[in-house]
Order: sequence, then structure tokens, then C-alpha cells
Amino acid sequence: MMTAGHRDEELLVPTYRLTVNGRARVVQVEAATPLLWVIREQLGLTGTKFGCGVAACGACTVHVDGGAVRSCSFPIEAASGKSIMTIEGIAPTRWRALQAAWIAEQVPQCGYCQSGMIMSAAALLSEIPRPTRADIAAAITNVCRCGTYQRVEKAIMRAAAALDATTSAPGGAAP
Amino acid sequence: MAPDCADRFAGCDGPELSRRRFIELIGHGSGALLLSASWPAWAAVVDGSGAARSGEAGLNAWVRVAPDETVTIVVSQAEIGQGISTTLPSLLADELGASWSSVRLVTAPYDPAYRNPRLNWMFTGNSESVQSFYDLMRAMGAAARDMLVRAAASHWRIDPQMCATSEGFVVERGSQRRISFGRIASAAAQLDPPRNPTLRADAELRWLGRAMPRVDVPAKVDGSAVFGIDYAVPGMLIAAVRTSPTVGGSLRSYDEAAARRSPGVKAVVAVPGGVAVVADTFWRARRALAVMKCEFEGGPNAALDSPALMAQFRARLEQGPFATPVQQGDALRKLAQGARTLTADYENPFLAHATMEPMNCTAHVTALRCEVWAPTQGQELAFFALKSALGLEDKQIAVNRTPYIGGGFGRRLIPDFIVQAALISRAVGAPVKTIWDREEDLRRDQFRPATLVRLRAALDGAGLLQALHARVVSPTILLPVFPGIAPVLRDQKIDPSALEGMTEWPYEVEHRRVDFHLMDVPIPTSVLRATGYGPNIFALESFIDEIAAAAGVDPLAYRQRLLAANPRALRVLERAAALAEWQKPRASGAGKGVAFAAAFGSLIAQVTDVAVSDGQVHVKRVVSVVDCGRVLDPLIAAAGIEGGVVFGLAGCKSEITFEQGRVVQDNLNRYVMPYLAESPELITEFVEGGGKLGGVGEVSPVTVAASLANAIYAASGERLRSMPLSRHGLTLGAWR
Amino acid sequence: MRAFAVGRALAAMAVSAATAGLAPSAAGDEAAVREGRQIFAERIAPVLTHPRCLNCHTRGDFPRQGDDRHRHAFLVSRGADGKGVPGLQCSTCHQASNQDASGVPGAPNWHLAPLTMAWEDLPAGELCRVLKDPAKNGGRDLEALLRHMSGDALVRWGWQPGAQRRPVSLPHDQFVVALSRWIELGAACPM
Repeated sequence: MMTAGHRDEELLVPTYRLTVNGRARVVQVEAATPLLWVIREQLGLTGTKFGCGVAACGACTVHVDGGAVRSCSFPIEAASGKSIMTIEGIAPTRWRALQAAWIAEQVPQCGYCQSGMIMSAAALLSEIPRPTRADIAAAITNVCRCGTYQRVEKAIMRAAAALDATTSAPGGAAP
Repeated sequence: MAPDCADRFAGCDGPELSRRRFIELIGHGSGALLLSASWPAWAAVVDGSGAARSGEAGLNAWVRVAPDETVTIVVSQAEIGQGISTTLPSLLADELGASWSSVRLVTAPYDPAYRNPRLNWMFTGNSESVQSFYDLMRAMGAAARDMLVRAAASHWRIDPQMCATSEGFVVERGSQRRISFGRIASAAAQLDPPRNPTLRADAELRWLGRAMPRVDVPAKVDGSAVFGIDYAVPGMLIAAVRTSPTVGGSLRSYDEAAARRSPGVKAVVAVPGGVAVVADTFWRARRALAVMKCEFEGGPNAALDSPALMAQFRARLEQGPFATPVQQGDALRKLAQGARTLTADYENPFLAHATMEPMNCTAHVTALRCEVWAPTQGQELAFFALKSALGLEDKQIAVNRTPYIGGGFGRRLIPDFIVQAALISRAVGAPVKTIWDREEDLRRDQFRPATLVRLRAALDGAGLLQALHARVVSPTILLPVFPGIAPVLRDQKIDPSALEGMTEWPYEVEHRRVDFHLMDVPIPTSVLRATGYGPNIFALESFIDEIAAAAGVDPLAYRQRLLAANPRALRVLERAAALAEWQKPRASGAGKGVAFAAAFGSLIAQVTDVAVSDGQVHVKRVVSVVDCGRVLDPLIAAAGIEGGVVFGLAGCKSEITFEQGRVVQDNLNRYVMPYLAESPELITEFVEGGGKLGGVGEVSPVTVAASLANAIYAASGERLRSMPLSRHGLTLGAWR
Repeated sequence: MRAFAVGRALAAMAVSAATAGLAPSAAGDEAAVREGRQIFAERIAPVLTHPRCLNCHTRGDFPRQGDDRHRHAFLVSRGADGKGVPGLQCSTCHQASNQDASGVPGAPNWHLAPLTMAWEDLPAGELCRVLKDPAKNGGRDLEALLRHMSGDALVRWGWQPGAQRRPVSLPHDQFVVALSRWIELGAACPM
């Protein structure tokens, strides 16, 4: 929606306001620019990766208003006014349990796909706190050329168990 | 560039940065780090020129100690996901006696000091980093230790034999006296390095054979790892490139005015075979490429298509000419006389590297200097390629390797994308980061070549293998990454890598002949993880199963017979069979397939379990047992084998074909990689057979195609003599 | 956007024309039935079974893609509500409009038609009956069905599919006219 943007009369490049990892940000960029490239270039957050540009690989996965989105295929104008979370914004949230699990299981090899993997895993766990292997297989279609899938599955299970223990402990609640 | 990112790109700030990052990581939900108390802490791989900073005492080219106790170790090998940036530095630090939490890692610049000692060339590949650097890392750690000990002993006026090192201190045995590395290092650096440093007994090493937490992992889970594609230098512009979709085509026309009108565009630059648009962001550069409406001449290969190309391969398979690099006994006569002969032709497809991070390079070239920052496996080849392309002197060129690289698989040994980036920077007169989009990356790949292999075997009356004749037709694998091999190709008409798995064979057979035709194709071909072993072992290990079937013998038992004189091989084979429960009765539609190979200095036996129904192949489990001599880090080694199986499976799922001169599979929605849902359960075990150190990174993909084909035969009775599965109306099934 | 506005105007005209005289005359019943069946078979069914429509009106656990109607890549599946599974919803990739940059098609509320509206492999007569049955078509009477086909943004995507996808062969305004005529004639189904 263009209500959150305005046209600069001289440059004709629209401005968009959005929240990224809890901070209000303003960007001035062409309307059709994919959110991926706004995140990487206008906002300088390079943790979200470019792998294919056609929504086939998932390396660009971020959260928009809590839902997973392949940001190479999501125009900035659709992000206007919305709340974006990238891999850089995970640590203060409960999804840091995923990062801890990824470290404990030593999941990454080259690591390039892992930001997207973790964001997809977070989207899964936000819907299914204790996923089965079949749930993981259905949800995680991110491409890993190094073949870390077995450890990805283990790490998701591990994080799910850790989060479950946290939320079911007295006083424990997900932020 | 947004201000909150600038600190990441300015280069290494030194120990403050690495300690701060370390503390940040510890601070993030510290209970969740879940490291066992006995695991040493890790150090962050930081960027930086590798040059010594003031106050640091350099003990040798590999290790420096600062007064604040920071032990800086140089990482010579490219971290492409194989964990080498943890294993080699920890070996040196272990031998030295440093405390791991004081270690800071820096990436080596291009320098002869960091060459692979075996080949005297700086590169990462061929699964040989551990094999080639093991002795050197221990020697360098021991040498530095020796100097610190002698300096401390001199300071205390005691015999150096009375001293040892431990956790960053030189200690006097049997007393409380100790002095930290930081305090004694300057004095130590004044001493002559020992010529033959004494190594510790292996039992003294803290970390050898234990799983180290990888130094690169934390940055790979929080988005802070800066890959080549993320790199930035002040004043940098970004280039997007489009070259001819056909191999060898050229640019005919483009609407330059439309590009220049496009937002953010600063320059339009011709590159060999195409054009680059340079802008303030990648997206704007790529957008401008699209509006430019580039038109290309098809060029000499505009009619190239896969069926016609493979027909040429088949013609060469029939007619040669051939070199004959292996002639043992008289295979041809045995085959003419043999009680029984078997013949089979196998075909391997072109494969793409498809590293998750597409090719890219940041270059800053002026009339007097060239500096590049590239995700490269081949710093030395890049150096010489730049020198040649730019006409600069040695000291005017700096090749920096980015500490994080999104996959290599051999593609990043080739310097083409680095030279292109340098030429663009020079033309523009500014630092430029050149990024290939996925289409460019797949079209301009240097593919794992397609090959044809004809195998003929003579069996005696008892079904024993008497003679084997192999005929291999393959384009070059080595030439683009090792130009020095050119005379061998020209004069002997062979490519040594394309003969891997054929020239040396682990099975006992009296008569063996290998003919080879070096195929000339217009498609660029080069090394891809598993190199020549991949295609040859698919043929050989499938053929062994076919022979076993003809002889009426179980494929495992047949191999045991062939390996009877090789106890190391028998051990891995039998262990794999045991883990895979080879003898267990199989359900209808299910099957197990075995494959064995000696590759990259290691032995591997692999058993694949499949279920086949309705054209779907469910790859349920793959057991891999590996003897790589000795395992330096079990978790890292296991990761390499596990990941390699999935990589090998990708070569059974998708292939690269050509139509009207173009690569058909020019993005990941067409060159489709295996999904988690399709990937097998992976069981991996190592056997330490006591031999020399062997490689790990490329070993497991070698046997995947054959063990899969053998399993499919067992499950369905259908024998696949080519990959991928789609050629046979089969698909990988999502079974998890 | 302009094409949509024009189409909407035409659709509105068609709806009012259709609802103006809904009950067919008793005398011309046989001819009306014959003509209605012919319109359905020749004009309406080809639209409903065109790949752009049929690829999301599947009867299995997944959508399809392409004119060859292969299974949608990336192992996407229907999920409980036709919107994908937790962690891989349609909205992960498909946005409210076609994306030229990535080639991914889009329209508001992108999702699979419910299984009751699965049209794959149905002969024309069965397709017609399923289409008309309020128990299967989301509780729509004929008037509501016409409004849905003429005005719903996801339906209309079939005619502006973006990238190099082939749109539905019969132009949308002619489709709406055919639908209205068919309804006017009594909405007879082929046998």
C-alpha cells in the first residue's frame, strides 16, 4: 500500500517505512526492489543471502509480520509498514535457541544457506513447537549444497526440546 | 552503507574484536552453548591482511605472539565448509602448547610461505589439505615452542630440557615457575628457529583425534559471517554481468542509453563475451542489465545440443584414437579367449558446481596496483592470472581470500571471475564488487565433464575376474586449474584426473588395460568434488555388481574375494556390510547396493538402502565406512562424509544439458538439488587402518552413484548405466 | 490495473444481465438445455481445465505448475487449509501480485482451492455438477458463482499470470459472458 510512502518530487524514488529487527527504518528505493536487496544494500544487513533470485533455494528467507517469506520475491512496497525480522534479529528472541542448537550440533559447513535455514526453522517452530520428522521434512525445503540436512533436523529437534523445557518451566514464557 | 555495518568491513581490529565477539557469543543465552566443559573454547576467524602488527613477535610465518598473550595463527587453506580453518590451526596450537582461547586466526595473503608443501603451490583442493599440511603444522608449532622454551630457559638460566609449554605458558618442570608466552615472545623471536624441532608424543596432544568446536560456526548462525558477496570497501560500486548464454557467443548489441537512464547506474563496461553494468547497488545494476535488452550472437556453438554432443562421445568410444596408460598382462588376449565375457557402457552427465554463494569478487585496480578480495580456493593461480591480464609487477598485486566462502567444490580454483572483476574495476577507476547472478553462475560454470566408459571383463569358468579392459572418453579435468599439466595432455594425450580410479585399482586382477581418449569439447570442463573418481567409480563399481550377478555371486562376497589380499580394504567393506545389515532379508521393492573405492588416499565402503515403487526411489539410508589413515577431528570428518553423500546424490538427481548452445538448467528451479525430505539417514564410521593420512572431503561422493544404482538393481531388477535418475523415468522420492 | 477495471465493469454488466431474467422459459427448455450444455463444454470447461486454473484445483496433496502440469517444485504441499504447511506456506513465496524480478506469480490470497473444488480428471459433466453444487463450491448459488468468477482477484490471475506463462485462452470478459449465458439458459450440465 502506498499510504505509508510518499513521492519525492525531485527524485521520484518512493520512501518506505518499516520495522527491521525491532528498529524503525526508512528507505528510499524503487518500488519493485525486492526486500532481499533492500535488507542487504540499503540497510546493510548481509546475513540474509542471495542464492537464486527465483524463490527456489530459501537462502533469502526472512520473517514479515511473523511469517516466513523468501525475500528475493517480495517487493519493498509490500513490506511498507510491516515488521521484518532477519537472522541478525534472532539473538534477543527465543529463536536464539535455534542458534544454540545449530552450534551444539555443529550444523554449518560453508554456512551460506544457514541464515535461511534458521529462519525457516523458526517459522516452523512458531506453528508447531514439537515438530515430527515429517513436519520438518515438509517445512524445510531450503537447499543446502553441502548436505547438512541430517544435522539441521537434529538441531531443530534439539531447539524444540529446549524451548519446550523453557516454556513449561514455572515462570517460563516465550517473548 | 549503513553506519551500523561499517565496523565489520574495515579489516581486523585485532584481539579486542575477537575477544569482544567471543564474549558476545558467550553472552547470548550462555546456558544454551551446551559445550562440554572439556572442550576448548574457539577463536573467531577474522579478516585481515595477515601482516604483523606492532608489538607482535613473529616466531615463524605461521605464528606470532603479542604482549597481551594473543597468539595469532595464519590460516593458509580456504575454509569452504570442510572445517580446515579449525583443524590445521588447532594442530599447530596444540603442538605449541597455546591456550585455544588466546588464539586469533588471520587469513593468509597470497605468499609462497603458505604454499602446499607437496606441490609447492598455494591452493585448497583435492582433499589434501590435511595430508599435505599435517607435518608442517606440527613442525611450525614445535619450532615456535622450541624458541619460547629456549628463551625462557635462558631467562631462568636453566637447561631447556627442564621446560615445557602448557596453556600459553612456559613452565619449569617440577616447580611453580612459569612465564607467559606474551612476556617471553620478543626474546624468543630473536633466536634462530630450530632446524629439526622435536614433536610432542601424540599422547601429549590435547586435541588430536577429538572434536573441536569449529571456529567458523558461530558467525555462520548469527549472520555476521562476511562472505565474498557481502564484502565492502570504502567507495565501492557493484557490477552485474551478462555474458553470452551460448558458449563462445558474443554481444551483438545493447541499449546503453537505457542502462544509463536506469537509477543508480554509474558505468557500462564491456567484458569478454558480454557487458557489465556498474551501479551503486547490485539490484540497480541487475535491473539495468534487464532493461538494456542485450542481444547476443550465438557464435560457433549456437547449434550445440546434448544428443549431438554425446553422439560425438560415442563415436570416439568406438573409434578412438586412444592412449593406453595402463597395460598389465594381456587383457585383450584374455578377453578374446575368455570363457565368458561381459561388456557394458556407462555414461556420466555434465554436472554444475552450483555453490550456494554465486561467483563474485571485489577488486580495486589502479594503474599501479591491483588488490582483490575473493572467495577463492586458488590464490596463487589468481595471482598469476591477474599479473598476466593486467601487466603489473609481483609486488603490485595482492590477492586476499575472504575468510568465509559459500561452497567451493573446485569451482573457486579457477580465476576467471577474479580477472573479470579486476578488469571491470580498472575500466571504471573505482573499487568494484562484481556479482554473478545465478543464471550467469550456472551458464559460466566449468562443468564436471560428461564421460563415457566402456568396460569389458573376462571371467573364468568359476566366475573369477581374469581380465578387465576399460575404455574412457573424457574431456580434461585438470587443465583449467593446473595449467602446468598442458604438456601431459598434449604429449601423452591423457588427463591424469580423468583417469583417477582407473590407473590404480584396489582389486586383484592379473590382466588389466585402460585406454583413454581425451575428448575435445567446446564446453569448459574442470574439477568438481570427486573429480575423475566420480565418473570412473560409477562405471567400475556398477560393473563389479554386473559381473557378480553374471557369476551368480553376492556382490559383497564378490568384492571380498577380489580384496582377499587387502586386509585394510576388507575391514571397511565388512564393517559397512555389518552396519548396513547386509544379510537381513529385504522386503519386496527394497534393496541394498554396495560400492567400494580407494580414492584421495582413503578407502571407502558404502551401502545404500532404497525402496523403489511407482518410479520413485526412496533413498532411506546410506552407510559409509571410511579408512583415512587417522581421523584428526571426528565430528568434522563425519560432516565431510555426510555432506558428501548428499552431494553425490545431487549428481544422481540433476544434470546439465545443452540446447541450441545454451545451458538448459540455468537456475536452481531447473538444476534442482536434493531436499531434506529426500535425503537418506546417514550412518558414518571411521576405521583407523594405520596407513598414511588420507583425504576426507571428496571421498564419499565417489561411491554414491554406484551404490545407488546397485541398490536400485537389487530392489527392482533394473540396471541403470547412466545418471541422473530422470533418464530412466525415476525420481528421488520424499520419504522422510 | 486498467485491464482489471475494465473487466470488472464488464463483469458487473454481465451479472446484472444474468440476474435480470434468471428462470429460463419452459417452452424453449430442450433447446436451452442443448445450448447450455454446448456452452459449458465448449467455452466454460476449457477455462476451468486450463493449466492456469487446474494447477490449483488439484485433487492431490500438492499444486501443479506449468503447461505440462508437473508437480509444483520445492515439495510444497497443500497443508490443512490449502495454504501450505507450517514453515512453508504459499505466502512464503507468493505475494499479492506477480513478481517480475523473480518470475514468481502472485495474486491476493494465493492458496489451493479446497479438495471439494478439485477439478482434475473430471469429465465435463461431472465438472459441471461439482461446480454447481453449493455443498462443494463454497456455498455459492449461481449468482454468487458468477460474481466469484468475474470479480475474485485470484481467479482473475489466470488471465494475467505474468512472466512467460500462457494466460487462459478465452478472454475473461468473454468467459463471463459465456457463464452468464449458460446460467440464463438454466445452467444445464453435459451428460
